[in-house]
Amino acid sequence: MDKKKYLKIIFPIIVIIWIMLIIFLYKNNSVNNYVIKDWIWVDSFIKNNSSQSAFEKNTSFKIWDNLDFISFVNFGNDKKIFLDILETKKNINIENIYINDKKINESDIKSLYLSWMTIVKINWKAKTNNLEWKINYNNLIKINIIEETDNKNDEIKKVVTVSNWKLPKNITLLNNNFSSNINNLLQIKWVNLEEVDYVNIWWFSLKPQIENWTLLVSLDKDIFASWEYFIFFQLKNGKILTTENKINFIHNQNSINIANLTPKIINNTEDSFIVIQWNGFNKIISVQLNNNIILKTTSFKIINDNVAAIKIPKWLWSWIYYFNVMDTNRIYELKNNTFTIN
Amino acid sequence: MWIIFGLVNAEQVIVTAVVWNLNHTPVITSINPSSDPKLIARNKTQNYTIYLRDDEQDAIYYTITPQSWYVDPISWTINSSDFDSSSWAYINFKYLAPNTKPTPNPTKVTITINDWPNLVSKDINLYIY
Repeated sequence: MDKKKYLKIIFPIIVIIWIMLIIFLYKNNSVNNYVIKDWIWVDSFIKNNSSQSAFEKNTSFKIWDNLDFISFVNFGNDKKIFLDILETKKNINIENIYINDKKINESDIKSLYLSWMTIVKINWKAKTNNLEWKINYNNLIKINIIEETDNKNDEIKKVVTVSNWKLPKNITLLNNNFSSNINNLLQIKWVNLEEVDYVNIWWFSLKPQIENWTLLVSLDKDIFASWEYFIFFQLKNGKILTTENKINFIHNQNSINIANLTPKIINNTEDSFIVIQWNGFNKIISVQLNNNIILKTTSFKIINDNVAAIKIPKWLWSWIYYFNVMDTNRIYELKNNTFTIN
Repeated sequence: MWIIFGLVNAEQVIVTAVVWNLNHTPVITSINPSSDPKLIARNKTQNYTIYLRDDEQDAIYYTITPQSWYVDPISWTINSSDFDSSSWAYINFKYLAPNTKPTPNPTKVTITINDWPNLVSKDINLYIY
């Protein structure tokens, strides 16, 4: 093959590869509201307050529903920007705009000094429903850089600092280790409890109850994978408070689990019932103790999938025991909950 | 309990009682609130009181297990000293409803009351809206 023929074949291939590469880079610039524009990193969530949805990547809404749109924006360094929401405004009535929990006027968004990590929150009422408004969550706000700025610029600090309001103190989690196989209650104490509107874990936005100066937050079972999660708070004044508090979840893949047994100490002078609580008990076909003693089928009573009573015979010797329960597939050693026979 | 009467002579009657279980089962006498099912809004708390009677005033171990959502406490003990002179005692617990409607709905909370020879269970039904 001569050189000209070779070039005739190779050149179009190179052009096609270049075009595909450009299309690929353009398309992958935004994936799941996760946008990189001129080294600006944006992660956005939307929440329908009218239907009490969680913060989600997209949501359904009706006309005049109240929504919160939150963007976590990382600029890399401090910048003066113009926040363009002109297109979005055709479909919404803006109620409030917050930059790092500081309420600003709509006119202020034309020229904002923002630090490297910024929370942009826009609270609005929808003028159209989500079906009529072919919403592109990646383009709800457009961030146009006016100029790069210096970290030492005092004007930046004046705008982005949140020190003009009193930070709540002494945030205490009464428990921060949970099994996500069961429903849990997160209990939080702090000094300005009544200011909290929502407690956020990962992207879940949870409405707490206040009882006896404690925030009660219900945590659904089977929602959280085994992981360590940060907690942040949405306050009633619209501000967002991040904390160093973390909670840990452990999720057990077993289909039968015990979260609690009652009582934990019994005597061997008479037969005794032990009640076990939590899930999968309808599947139990056999119960053994950890010393391989198989209890008679008449010795356990499955009350429902969440509660069972097991009769412990009086002749057992003093020791620490746990249950091995069997379903049609396997034996589960429920070592985490033990009981003692005196 | 079986009672057998035997006539020995004109002046004497022997009464023999065969008691299958010497210990009386504790009885749940009332639940407050008594609505069944009880309507509870999502993510709201509801306090419950369960009144019970146990003639022997034994220590009672109880458990409270929600099918959906959380109760406090999930188990506890009534001591003999917690009974009044009429052998009545009570259990207080708090139910926290889920953020979303549970499946199934109505849901239930199962109470077990265990005085060792006897164990009774009772479901409280709740509808979350």
